[in-house]
Amino acid sequence: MTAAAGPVVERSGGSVEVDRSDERPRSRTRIRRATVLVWGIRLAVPLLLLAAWVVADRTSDLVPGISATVSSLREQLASGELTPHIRSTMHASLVGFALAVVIGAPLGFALGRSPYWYKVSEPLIASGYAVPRIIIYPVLIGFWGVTLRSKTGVVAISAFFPIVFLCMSGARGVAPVLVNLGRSMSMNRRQTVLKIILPATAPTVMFGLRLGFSIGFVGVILAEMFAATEGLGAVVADDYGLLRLPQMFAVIALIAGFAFVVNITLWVLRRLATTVE
Amino acid sequence: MTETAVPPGVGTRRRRSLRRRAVPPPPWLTRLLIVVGALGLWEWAARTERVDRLTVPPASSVFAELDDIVTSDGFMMHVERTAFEIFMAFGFGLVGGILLGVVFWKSRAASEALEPFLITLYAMPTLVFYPILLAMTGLNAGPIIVITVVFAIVPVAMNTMNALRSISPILLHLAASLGMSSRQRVLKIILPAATPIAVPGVKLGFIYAVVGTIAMEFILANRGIGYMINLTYGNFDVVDMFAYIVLVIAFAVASNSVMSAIERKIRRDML
Repeated sequence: MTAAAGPVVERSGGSVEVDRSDERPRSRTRIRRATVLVWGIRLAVPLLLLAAWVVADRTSDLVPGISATVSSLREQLASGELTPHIRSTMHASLVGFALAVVIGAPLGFALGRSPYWYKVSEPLIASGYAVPRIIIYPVLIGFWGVTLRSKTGVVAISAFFPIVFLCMSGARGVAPVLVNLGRSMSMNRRQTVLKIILPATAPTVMFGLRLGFSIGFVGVILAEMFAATEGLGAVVADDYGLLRLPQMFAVIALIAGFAFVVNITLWVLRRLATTVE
Repeated sequence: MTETAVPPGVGTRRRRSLRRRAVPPPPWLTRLLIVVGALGLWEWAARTERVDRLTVPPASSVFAELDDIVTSDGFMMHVERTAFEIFMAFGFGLVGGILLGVVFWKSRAASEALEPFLITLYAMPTLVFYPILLAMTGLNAGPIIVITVVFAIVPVAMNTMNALRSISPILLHLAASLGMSSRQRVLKIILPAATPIAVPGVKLGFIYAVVGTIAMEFILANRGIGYMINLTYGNFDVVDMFAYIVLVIAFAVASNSVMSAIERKIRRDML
C-alpha cells in the first residue's frame, strides 16, 4: 500500500503534490518494472475502447464499424467538404477565446489584486461558472441571427468565467513577501507587475487559459449542434438527422481527436517545462 | 464605529468627523446593487425599445410569465426529469469518483498511467459523444446520465486522490501504533483528514452534473427544463424562453451557493 510518504506541498495553481524527497531510493529494476506497468496501462485503455467499439458494432445496427468510420473520415477530409466547417468552428473558437482573454484576464487580475472587489465579485464569478452558458445562445441568435458572430459570442461568454476566476485566484495568491521584495527594491508599478506579479501567477493563469479554451471549444460544438449553418457540430447534427452514421462517427472522432491531441501536447509541454526547471 | 478614547476638554467632535475615511459598503451590499442594477438595466432597455421587445422582453414580463409557468400543469414533469438526471449523474459520479480516487491512491502505477487520460477527459468535449449514445439508445434520460457521469467523475476522482495522498503519514503510523482496526482507521483518521480537501471536488462534480445535464437537454431531448428552452426557442415563444433561461440560471446559482456554504462549513469545522 502506498500512502503519501512525505509532507504535502501545495503548488500554485491549486494542484497538490507529495514531496517524496525522504523516500528510500528505488532500485533500477523496480523503476523499470513500474514504467512497464504504467505504459502497459496506458496502452490498454485505447485498446479497451476499440474493443468496446467492435462489440457495439456487432451488437447494434446503429453503430458503424471501425473501418467504415475511418474510410468515411478519409473520404470527407480528402474531398474538402469538411474544410469550410473546420474553418468556421476554428474561427469561432479562436476569436471567441481571444475576446475572453483580452477582456477577462486583465479584469481577473484587477479583481484579484483588490481585496474588496475580490470579496464583492468572487461569488458572482463563481456563480456564473456554475451556469450552463450555452443557454444564452438563443438570446445571441435573437441579436445577430444564426451567424458566426453568435457562435463567437457563445465561445467568449463560455471561456470568460473560467479565465476571470483563475486569474482572480492567481493574482490574489501572490505571496505578500514577493510584493514586499519588490517594494524593498524600490520597483515602480510597471516593474512590480511585469517582474513579480505576472511570473508568480503564471501557472494558475496558464491553467485558466487552457481550461477556458477547452470550455470555449465545447461551447462552439454545442452551439453548432443546436443551430448553425456550418461548422463541425452542425455537420454532426445534420448527419444525425439524416442517419448518416459512419459520417457522423467520423466527424465526432475528428473533434475528439483534435481535443485529445491539443491537450496531450500541452500536457507533455508542461511536463517538459517543469522537469527542465 | 471607532470610539477612540479622547482626553476631555479637547475639541475632537469636529476633528473626528473630518478624519473619518469613506467606508465602502459591505461586499454583499455592493453585489446586491450590481445585480439589481443589471436587472434594472434590462428592464429599462427593453421598455424604452433600446432593444427590440421581440428579442429581449422586459424583465417584468419574463418574471410574470415565470410565475405562470411554475404553476402550470406540465412543469413538474420537466422538473422531475431534469432533477432525476442530475441526481443520478451526481450519485454515480460521486460513488465512482470516490472509488476511482481510492484506487489511484493505492496504486501509483494506475494514477501515473491514467493521468494524461483524465486530464484529457477534463478538457475534451465529452458532450460530443451524445449523438452516438442517442443513436444507440434513442431519446431518453440514459445517454444524458451516462455522459454526465463521465463528466462529473473526473473532478471527484482527482480531488479524492489528492485528499487521500495529503493525509500525513504520521497519522497513519499513529493508527498502526494504537492497534486500530481497519474500520476505526477509516472512520477516525482517513475520513476526517481527507474530507475537507475532497469536498471542493464533490462541489465541482455537482456543478458539472448540472451543466452537463442542462446542456444536453438543450441540444436534444424530449423532456426537461433544458428541453423547454429548446422548445420555446423553436416556437418563437420569446417570453417563455427567457423565463426558462432565468429559471436555469437561478437554479444553478442557488445550488452553487448551497454547495459552497456546505463546503465552507466543512472546511471550517474539519480543516
